[in-house]
This record gives sequence, structure tokens and C-alpha cells, in this order.
Amino acid sequence: MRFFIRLWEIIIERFHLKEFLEHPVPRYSNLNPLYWIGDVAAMSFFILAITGFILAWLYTPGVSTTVTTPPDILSGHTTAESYIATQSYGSVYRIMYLTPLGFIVRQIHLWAAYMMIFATLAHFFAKFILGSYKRRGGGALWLLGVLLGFLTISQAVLGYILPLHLDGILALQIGLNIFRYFDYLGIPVGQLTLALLGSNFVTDQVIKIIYSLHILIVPAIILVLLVLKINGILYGGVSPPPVKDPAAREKALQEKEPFYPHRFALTAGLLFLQLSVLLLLVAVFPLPLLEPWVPGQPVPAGVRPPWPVMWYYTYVKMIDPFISVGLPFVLVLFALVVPLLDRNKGVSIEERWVWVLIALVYIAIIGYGTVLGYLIDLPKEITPITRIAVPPEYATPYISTPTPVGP
Amino acid sequence: MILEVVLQVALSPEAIAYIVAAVGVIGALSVYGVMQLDRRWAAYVAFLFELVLTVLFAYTVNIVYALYGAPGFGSVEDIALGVAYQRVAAGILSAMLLLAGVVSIGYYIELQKTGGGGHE
Repeated sequence: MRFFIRLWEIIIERFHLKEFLEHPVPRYSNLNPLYWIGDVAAMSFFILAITGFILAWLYTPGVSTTVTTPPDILSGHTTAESYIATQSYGSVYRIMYLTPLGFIVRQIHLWAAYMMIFATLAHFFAKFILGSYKRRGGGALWLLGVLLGFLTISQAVLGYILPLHLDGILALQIGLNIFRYFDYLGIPVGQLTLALLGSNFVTDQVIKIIYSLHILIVPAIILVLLVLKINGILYGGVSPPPVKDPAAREKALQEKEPFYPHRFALTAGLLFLQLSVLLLLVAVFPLPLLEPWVPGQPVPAGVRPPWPVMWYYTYVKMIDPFISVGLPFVLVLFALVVPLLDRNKGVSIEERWVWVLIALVYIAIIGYGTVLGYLIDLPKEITPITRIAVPPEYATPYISTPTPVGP
Repeated sequence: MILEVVLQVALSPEAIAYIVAAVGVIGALSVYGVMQLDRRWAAYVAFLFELVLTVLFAYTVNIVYALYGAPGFGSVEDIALGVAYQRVAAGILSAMLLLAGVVSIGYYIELQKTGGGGHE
């Protein structure tokens, strides 16, 4: 035991970690759960990196349909019929059902992705309500946070495409349609994206590009932004306490604890509990692999996106595409300019009730679309309440059946 | 042949799941209860339950490897059984991490109460 204590002391001394480990952390940020959610998102990212690293050994991207797989048992199939599937689907099937412990690794990867998205959204709203962009340097961190949120969703969509199941192809169509929306406004983003992909169809090349984006480019950007954000928090401090009384606020700011062992023990505990919840979800609610897609096959009407983007899919189907397809851009752009609009100095909930209300409207838009997506059959018949009138020439359907893939 | 031997000798996934649930619940309650008296002893109790769960985890993972390594593995029934054992293994890990999380957060709560005289 003495050896390990000495080793720890040498590491602390040689790598000059004392200053980092003992840097003061405000006590209120350790006690208030609203200040932990960012940690959950960041830790999810690292869990995803580790499980993704293992999955990358076994996954093979490709659209050739030489693979035959038994049915996905978690989708409720009982017959022993076989499917013709793409190479990508076949390799994911092999990971999930034919590799020892591969099932656990992939399920952790999926649930950690959902947890990261949920934590990212919750973190966004927590910081929105706390007005974290009001402190010195907070605006830059807010900007980084919005970019990280956008990249998190992009990364999730890219990963969802990779198994080449029907839902993944739906995600690819919806993603490309978002880019095509800019073409409609006169900015050729969709054309540029298709030119970069090199094909209008799903080919080996396209899947390899999506794969490299998912495992290398986007995670690398997320990592760099995350390091910048953590550095900004380390040297700029956390969000101010949501207290109206200046004396109480000052007192809260003065009460500090060292990062080690205080916050370290708390963060380690949260990480263990997060992993515990993840594994419990894997054990109790395993996610199916879903139906395979064969090149040329249109996506059937019953296929739905997963819950993080269900709200968007609902609105695209319910409201005219000219308005609904652009909705995420409006939400992201508004989130980016919030620090410029909210100039009030107050940080307590009483002083920020308007912004709390706006945050609730945000949550309501996403929550309403998500719940509705599970309750109704889409495409829903357009009613006077759900329809927002636009000029007829703009009523171009952006979501349609996919273009058949050529040989 | 090996597949049949594995299935005859090994406990069923349901049986292991019940054992793990019992150990996990008793462990969590014991650690939480002892933590009210002495945090250090709670850590020792947690360590004891972690050891029991580690043995169960090793046992389950052994079955998973034996199953997947058996000649003839690959039918839908075999895969369903393999998935069931892996779900149990995930549940065991979940229980282990829950105990570790409770002990870590208990340590933070103790630091809060004592004013944080430093780590052990």
C-alpha cells in the first residue's frame, strides 16, 4: 500500500498535477444537480469512444448484398427465415449476435449515445435557465456548447446510418433533405454535399465517407471543442449561483472545495452510477437491430426514427416541409444569439422568468413532437390546426420514398 | 455436443439473474445501512459484495464463451440463449457499479460533513 501511495505522490509531483487537483470548485456547483449534467454528457462521450473503438474492429462498411443473416431475435421474429442484407448489416449482426460479449458492447454504445443526447439537451436547458452565458467568458462557452450539441446530434445520425437497416436509410434521407433545404433557399449546400459524397445513391464510397466521419472526423472535432470547454470552465469558473440576494450570492461564490478529493469523489460516483444505469438499460431494455435494408428497397411507411429525432420527423410530416425542415436551423440559430439578446444582469429564476418561459417553450416544442410521433400514425391528415399555410409553389415534399439505387 | 454439455451443466440465465438480484439488493441495502454508521466499514462491506458479484460475473462470462465457442453454435435458439446470458452479465456489472457509485458518493457526503480534511 505504501508503494502505491509513494507512486501516486511521484506522479503528482513529476507531472505538476497538484495545482490541477487542488483547484477550488464552488460548493454550490457540487451540491446542485443542474451543474452535473454536463459531466454526464462528457462521460458518455468517453464511454462511446471506448465502445466505438471496440466496435470499429469488427464492423465492415459496405453495401454489397452477399450476406444472409437469420432474423433479428429482439424484433420479435420467431420464424427461422433468413434475410438478404448488406455487408454493413451483416457485420453488425455478427457483432451483436455471433460475437461473445459483442451484444453488451453494442448495446452500451447505443444506450450511451441516447444518454449523451439526453444529457446534452438537459445540459443546454439547465444552462439556459441558469443564464450561464452571463459570466465573463460564458458567451464563448455557450457558443462552444451549441456547436457541441449540433455535433452530438450529427454524430448520432451518422452512427445510426451505419448498420444500413431501414431506419438508418430513413435517417440518411432525412439528413440529406436538411442539406437540400439550403438549395431551396438558393445556397447550394445540398448539391455540394452530394458532390462530396460522389453519388446520388448509397454506395460503398458513401458508406465509407459516413463511417470515417463517424469514427474520426466528428469525434475529433468534438474532442477539441470539449477540451476547450473544459479548459474554459477550469480557468473561468462555473455558472454563477441562481441567487437573487447579492450577499447570499457572494457567500456562495466564496465557499469552495478542492477538486480532489471532493469533486473527484462525486464525479467518480456519478460515473459509476451512470455506467450502472447504462448496463441496467442494456439488461432490461435491449435495443433490436431492426430490419435490414436492401439497395433499391424503399423505406416502408411504418418505419420511424428513434426518439431523439422523432419530434423533428413528426413536424416534417405534419407541417408543410418549407417550414418544418428548417425548424432545427431556427432553433440552433436562436440558441446561438441568446447571449446577445439576454442582456439583463440578473441570474436568479425570478429575474429571468421570461427566459425560463422561452426554455419551456423549447422543451414543449420538442416534447410535443416526440410524444405525438409515438401516439399518431404518420403521415397524419393535415388539419387547420397543424397546417401552416405557405404559397403553393413552395409546397415541395422533401421527405419522400427514396430514389431506387442503381446497380 | 459441447453445446449440450454447457446447457446441462450451467445454471440457467434466469437462475443467475435471481441470485444476482438477491445479492445486489442485499448488498446495496447493507452498504447503505452500514454507511449511516461508518463509511469506512461500508466500503469494506461493498468490497465483499463486489467480490461475490465478480465471481458471478466470471461464471456467466465463462458460460457465454463456452456457448459461443461450441461447435454448431448459430441457430436462433442458441443466439437467444447467448443474448440472455449476456443480459445477465450486464446486470451483474450494473450491480457492481451501483455499489461502487454508492461508496464514492458516500465518501463525498462524508467529506462534506467533516469539512474535508483530505483523502485517506
